[in-house]
Amino acid sequence: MFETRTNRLSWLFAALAVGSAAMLFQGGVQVVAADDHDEARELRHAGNIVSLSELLGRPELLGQRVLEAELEREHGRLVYELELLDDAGRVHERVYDALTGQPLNGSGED
Amino acid sequence: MQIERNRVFVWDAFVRVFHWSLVLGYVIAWASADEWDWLHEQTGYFILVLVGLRMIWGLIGQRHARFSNFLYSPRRTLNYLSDLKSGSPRHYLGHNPAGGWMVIALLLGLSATGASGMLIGPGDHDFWEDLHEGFANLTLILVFVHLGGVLFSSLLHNENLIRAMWTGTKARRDADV
Repeated sequence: MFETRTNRLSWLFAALAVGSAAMLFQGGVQVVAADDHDEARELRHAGNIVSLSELLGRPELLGQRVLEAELEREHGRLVYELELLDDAGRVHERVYDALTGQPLNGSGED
Repeated sequence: MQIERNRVFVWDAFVRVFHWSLVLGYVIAWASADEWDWLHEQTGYFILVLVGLRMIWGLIGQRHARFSNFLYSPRRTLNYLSDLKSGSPRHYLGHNPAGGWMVIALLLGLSATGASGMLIGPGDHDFWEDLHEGFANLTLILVFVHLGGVLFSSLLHNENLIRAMWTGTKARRDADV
Protein backbone atom coordinates (compact mmCIF):
# COMPACT_ATOMS: atom_id res chain seq x y z
CA MET A 1 0.00 0.00 0.00
CA PHE A 2 1.42 3.33 -1.02
CA GLU A 3 0.89 6.61 0.73
CA THR A 4 -1.86 8.81 -0.52
CA ARG A 5 -2.66 12.31 0.53
CA THR A 6 -6.29 11.40 1.01
CA ASN A 7 -5.86 8.32 3.18
CA ARG A 8 -8.89 8.56 5.46
CA LEU A 9 -7.41 6.60 8.34
CA SER A 10 -4.38 8.88 8.40
CA TRP A 11 -6.58 11.95 8.64
CA LEU A 12 -8.72 10.25 11.27
CA PHE A 13 -5.61 9.67 13.41
CA ALA A 14 -4.55 13.27 12.85
CA ALA A 15 -8.01 14.41 13.96
CA LEU A 16 -7.76 12.21 17.08
CA ALA A 17 -4.45 13.87 17.96
CA VAL A 18 -5.86 17.37 17.55
CA GLY A 19 -9.10 16.40 19.32
CA SER A 20 -7.20 15.07 22.32
CA ALA A 21 -5.34 18.38 22.55
CA ALA A 22 -8.65 20.26 22.50
CA MET A 23 -9.97 18.08 25.34
CA LEU A 24 -6.83 18.30 27.45
CA PHE A 25 -6.38 22.04 27.15
CA GLN A 26 -9.94 23.35 27.23
CA GLY A 27 -9.91 23.50 31.04
CA GLY A 28 -6.86 25.75 30.87
CA VAL A 29 -8.55 28.27 28.65
CA GLN A 30 -11.28 28.53 31.29
CA VAL A 31 -8.77 28.89 34.11
CA VAL A 32 -6.84 31.60 32.29
CA ALA A 33 -10.07 33.35 31.34
CA ALA A 34 -11.41 33.32 34.91
CA ASP A 35 -9.84 35.87 37.20
CA ASP A 36 -7.55 34.28 39.77
CA HIS A 37 -8.56 36.80 42.38
CA ASP A 38 -12.20 35.89 42.01
CA GLU A 39 -11.44 32.25 42.59
CA ALA A 40 -9.32 33.05 45.62
CA ARG A 41 -12.06 35.26 47.08
CA GLU A 42 -14.73 32.64 46.50
CA LEU A 43 -12.66 29.92 48.08
CA ARG A 44 -11.96 32.10 51.10
CA HIS A 45 -15.57 33.12 51.55
CA ALA A 46 -16.56 29.50 51.45
CA GLY A 47 -14.11 29.05 54.32
CA ASN A 48 -12.06 26.62 52.31
CA ILE A 49 -8.70 28.35 52.46
CA VAL A 50 -6.85 30.64 54.81
CA SER A 51 -6.53 34.20 53.57
CA LEU A 52 -3.22 35.60 52.44
CA SER A 53 -3.23 38.16 55.27
CA GLU A 54 -3.73 35.39 57.85
CA LEU A 55 -0.86 33.51 56.28
CA LEU A 56 1.42 36.53 56.36
CA GLY A 57 0.75 36.77 60.10
CA ARG A 58 2.75 33.61 60.68
CA PRO A 59 5.73 34.32 62.95
CA GLU A 60 8.39 33.19 60.48
CA LEU A 61 7.03 35.56 57.86
CA LEU A 62 6.93 38.67 60.00
CA GLY A 63 9.31 41.34 58.75
CA GLN A 64 9.92 39.56 55.46
CA ARG A 65 9.22 41.34 52.24
CA VAL A 66 6.84 39.50 49.97
CA LEU A 67 7.90 39.82 46.36
CA GLU A 68 5.25 37.58 44.94
CA ALA A 69 2.31 35.58 46.29
CA GLU A 70 0.51 32.99 44.22
CA LEU A 71 -2.40 30.70 44.90
CA GLU A 72 -1.84 27.59 42.85
CA ARG A 73 -3.14 24.13 42.34
CA GLU A 74 -0.22 21.77 42.62
CA HIS A 75 -0.92 18.10 41.97
CA GLY A 76 -4.53 18.78 42.92
CA ARG A 77 -3.65 20.52 46.18
CA LEU A 78 -4.20 24.24 46.70
CA VAL A 79 -1.01 25.93 47.83
CA TYR A 80 0.28 29.43 48.42
CA GLU A 81 3.64 30.06 46.88
CA LEU A 82 5.44 33.01 48.41
CA GLU A 83 8.57 34.59 47.08
CA LEU A 84 10.31 36.35 49.94
CA LEU A 85 13.21 38.72 50.34
CA ASP A 86 15.09 38.31 53.61
CA ASP A 87 17.23 40.83 55.47
CA ALA A 88 20.39 39.59 53.78
CA GLY A 89 18.85 40.38 50.41
CA ARG A 90 18.38 36.74 49.45
CA VAL A 91 15.26 35.65 47.57
CA HIS A 92 13.68 32.40 48.64
CA GLU A 93 10.44 30.60 48.15
CA ARG A 94 8.08 29.10 50.69
CA VAL A 95 5.08 26.92 49.98
CA TYR A 96 2.06 26.65 52.25
CA ASP A 97 -0.96 24.42 52.16
CA ALA A 98 -3.79 26.84 51.39
CA LEU A 99 -6.33 24.79 53.34
CA THR A 100 -4.44 24.54 56.62
CA GLY A 101 -1.88 27.33 56.33
CA GLN A 102 0.84 24.82 57.23
CA PRO A 103 4.23 25.07 55.52
CA LEU A 104 5.11 22.45 52.96
CA ASN A 105 8.76 21.65 52.69
CA GLY A 106 10.71 21.17 49.56
CA SER A 107 8.05 21.31 46.91
CA GLY A 108 8.31 24.19 44.52
CA GLU A 109 11.80 25.12 45.58
CA ASP A 110 14.53 25.33 43.03
CA MET B 1 1.32 19.06 -11.59
CA GLN B 2 4.61 18.81 -13.47
CA ILE B 3 6.45 19.23 -10.22
CA GLU B 4 4.28 16.69 -8.47
CA ARG B 5 5.33 14.04 -10.93
CA ASN B 6 8.94 14.35 -9.82
CA ARG B 7 8.04 14.17 -6.20
CA VAL B 8 7.00 11.19 -4.19
CA PHE B 9 4.65 11.29 -1.22
CA VAL B 10 6.36 9.83 1.83
CA TRP B 11 4.93 11.13 5.10
CA ASP B 12 1.17 10.81 5.48
CA ALA B 13 -1.06 13.31 7.25
CA PHE B 14 -0.95 11.69 10.67
CA VAL B 15 2.84 11.26 10.67
CA ARG B 16 3.27 14.97 9.98
CA VAL B 17 0.62 16.16 12.42
CA PHE B 18 2.10 13.80 15.00
CA HIS B 19 5.65 15.00 14.44
CA TRP B 20 5.01 18.74 14.68
CA SER B 21 2.47 18.42 17.50
CA LEU B 22 5.11 16.48 19.39
CA VAL B 23 7.72 19.17 18.75
CA LEU B 24 5.32 21.82 20.04
CA GLY B 25 4.28 19.71 23.03
CA TYR B 26 7.88 18.89 23.86
CA VAL B 27 8.91 22.53 23.89
CA ILE B 28 5.90 23.48 26.04
CA ALA B 29 6.59 20.61 28.43
CA TRP B 30 10.18 21.76 28.98
CA ALA B 31 9.23 25.42 29.24
CA SER B 32 6.45 24.79 31.77
CA ALA B 33 8.38 22.33 33.96
CA ASP B 34 8.55 23.62 37.59
CA GLU B 35 6.80 26.77 36.39
CA TRP B 36 3.26 25.92 35.47
CA ASP B 37 2.25 22.51 36.73
CA TRP B 38 -1.17 22.34 35.16
CA LEU B 39 0.14 23.11 31.68
CA HIS B 40 3.09 20.78 32.18
CA GLU B 41 0.88 17.86 33.21
CA GLN B 42 -1.72 18.36 30.46
CA THR B 43 1.07 18.59 27.89
CA GLY B 44 2.51 15.38 29.30
CA TYR B 45 -0.81 13.60 28.80
CA PHE B 46 -1.01 15.02 25.29
CA ILE B 47 2.44 13.66 24.44
CA LEU B 48 1.43 10.25 25.80
CA VAL B 49 -1.69 10.29 23.61
CA LEU B 50 0.45 11.22 20.60
CA VAL B 51 2.94 8.44 21.35
CA GLY B 52 0.11 5.92 21.80
CA LEU B 53 -1.45 6.87 18.48
CA ARG B 54 1.95 6.68 16.78
CA MET B 55 2.51 3.18 18.12
CA ILE B 56 -0.84 2.02 16.74
CA TRP B 57 -0.09 3.80 13.45
CA GLY B 58 3.24 1.96 13.38
CA LEU B 59 1.28 -1.28 13.12
CA ILE B 60 -1.59 -0.34 10.83
CA GLY B 61 -0.43 2.89 9.15
CA GLN B 62 0.74 3.69 5.68
CA ARG B 63 3.89 2.21 4.24
CA HIS B 64 6.65 4.48 5.51
CA ALA B 65 4.93 4.93 8.86
CA ARG B 66 4.95 1.22 9.69
CA PHE B 67 7.57 -0.22 12.03
CA SER B 68 7.98 -3.17 9.66
CA ASN B 69 9.04 -0.72 6.97
CA PHE B 70 11.86 0.95 8.86
CA LEU B 71 13.09 -1.45 11.51
CA TYR B 72 16.20 -3.11 10.21
CA SER B 73 18.34 -5.78 11.86
CA PRO B 74 21.15 -4.63 14.16
CA ARG B 75 23.62 -5.92 11.60
CA ARG B 76 22.15 -3.89 8.77
CA THR B 77 22.00 -0.85 11.06
CA LEU B 78 25.67 -1.26 11.94
CA ASN B 79 26.52 -1.64 8.26
CA TYR B 80 24.62 1.55 7.56
CA LEU B 81 26.55 3.38 10.26
CA SER B 82 29.88 2.18 8.91
CA ASP B 83 28.78 3.27 5.42
CA LEU B 84 28.11 6.66 6.95
CA LYS B 85 31.70 6.83 8.08
CA SER B 86 33.00 5.96 4.63
CA GLY B 87 30.70 8.68 3.28
CA SER B 88 28.56 6.77 0.83
CA PRO B 89 25.51 5.33 2.57
CA ARG B 90 22.48 4.21 0.60
CA HIS B 91 19.65 6.69 0.33
CA TYR B 92 16.39 5.67 1.95
CA LEU B 93 13.08 7.17 0.97
CA GLY B 94 11.59 6.59 4.43
CA HIS B 95 13.59 6.31 7.64
CA ASN B 96 17.13 5.00 7.25
CA PRO B 97 18.12 2.19 9.66
CA ALA B 98 19.66 4.60 12.20
CA GLY B 99 16.67 6.93 11.96
CA GLY B 100 14.29 4.00 12.42
CA TRP B 101 15.89 2.99 15.69
CA MET B 102 15.86 6.63 16.77
CA VAL B 103 12.07 6.64 16.28
CA ILE B 104 11.82 3.66 18.64
CA ALA B 105 14.23 5.19 21.17
CA LEU B 106 12.29 8.47 21.18
CA LEU B 107 8.90 6.75 21.55
CA LEU B 108 10.22 4.67 24.45
CA GLY B 109 11.98 7.64 26.04
CA LEU B 110 8.86 9.77 25.86
CA SER B 111 6.69 6.94 27.24
CA ALA B 112 9.05 6.44 30.18
CA THR B 113 9.20 10.19 30.84
CA GLY B 114 5.41 10.51 30.75
CA ALA B 115 4.72 7.40 32.84
CA SER B 116 7.23 8.33 35.56
CA GLY B 117 5.81 11.86 35.59
CA MET B 118 2.32 10.52 36.21
CA LEU B 119 3.57 8.61 39.25
CA ILE B 120 4.98 11.68 41.02
CA GLY B 121 3.07 12.18 44.27
CA PRO B 122 1.98 15.46 45.83
CA GLY B 123 4.34 17.40 48.06
CA ASP B 124 7.94 16.47 48.58
CA HIS B 125 10.55 15.33 46.17
CA ASP B 126 10.14 11.64 45.56
CA PHE B 127 11.70 8.75 43.72
CA TRP B 128 9.46 9.19 40.67
CA GLU B 129 10.40 12.81 40.32
CA ASP B 130 14.10 11.91 40.10
CA LEU B 131 13.29 9.17 37.60
CA HIS B 132 11.11 11.57 35.61
CA GLU B 133 13.91 14.12 35.41
CA GLY B 134 16.37 11.42 34.43
CA PHE B 135 14.18 10.22 31.56
CA ALA B 136 13.46 13.81 30.50
CA ASN B 137 17.18 14.53 30.24
CA LEU B 138 17.82 11.26 28.42
CA THR B 139 15.08 12.12 25.93
CA LEU B 140 16.56 15.56 25.41
CA ILE B 141 19.88 13.96 24.47
CA LEU B 142 18.01 11.73 21.99
CA VAL B 143 16.33 14.81 20.51
CA PHE B 144 19.69 16.46 19.93
CA VAL B 145 21.11 13.31 18.33
CA HIS B 146 17.96 13.16 16.17
CA LEU B 147 18.43 16.77 15.08
CA GLY B 148 22.09 16.08 14.32
CA GLY B 149 21.17 13.01 12.28
CA VAL B 150 18.53 14.88 10.29
CA LEU B 151 20.91 17.73 9.56
CA PHE B 152 23.76 15.39 8.63
CA SER B 153 21.58 13.26 6.37
CA SER B 154 20.07 16.35 4.72
CA LEU B 155 23.51 17.69 3.86
CA LEU B 156 24.84 14.30 2.80
CA HIS B 157 22.01 13.57 0.36
CA ASN B 158 21.38 17.19 -0.52
CA GLU B 159 17.74 17.13 0.47
CA ASN B 160 15.76 19.16 2.98
CA LEU B 161 14.37 16.57 5.40
CA ILE B 162 12.72 19.18 7.60
CA ARG B 163 10.73 20.43 4.63
CA ALA B 164 9.86 16.86 3.71
CA MET B 165 8.38 16.30 7.17
CA TRP B 166 6.28 19.43 6.63
CA THR B 167 5.07 18.87 3.07
CA GLY B 168 5.20 15.09 3.11
CA THR B 169 7.03 14.86 -0.22
CA LYS B 170 10.57 14.16 -1.35
CA ALA B 171 12.25 14.37 -4.73
CA ARG B 172 12.05 11.09 -6.61
CA ARG B 173 15.37 9.28 -7.00
CA ASP B 174 16.49 6.04 -8.53
CA ALA B 175 17.69 3.24 -6.32
CA ASP B 176 15.60 4.30 -3.36
CA VAL B 177 14.49 1.76 -0.84
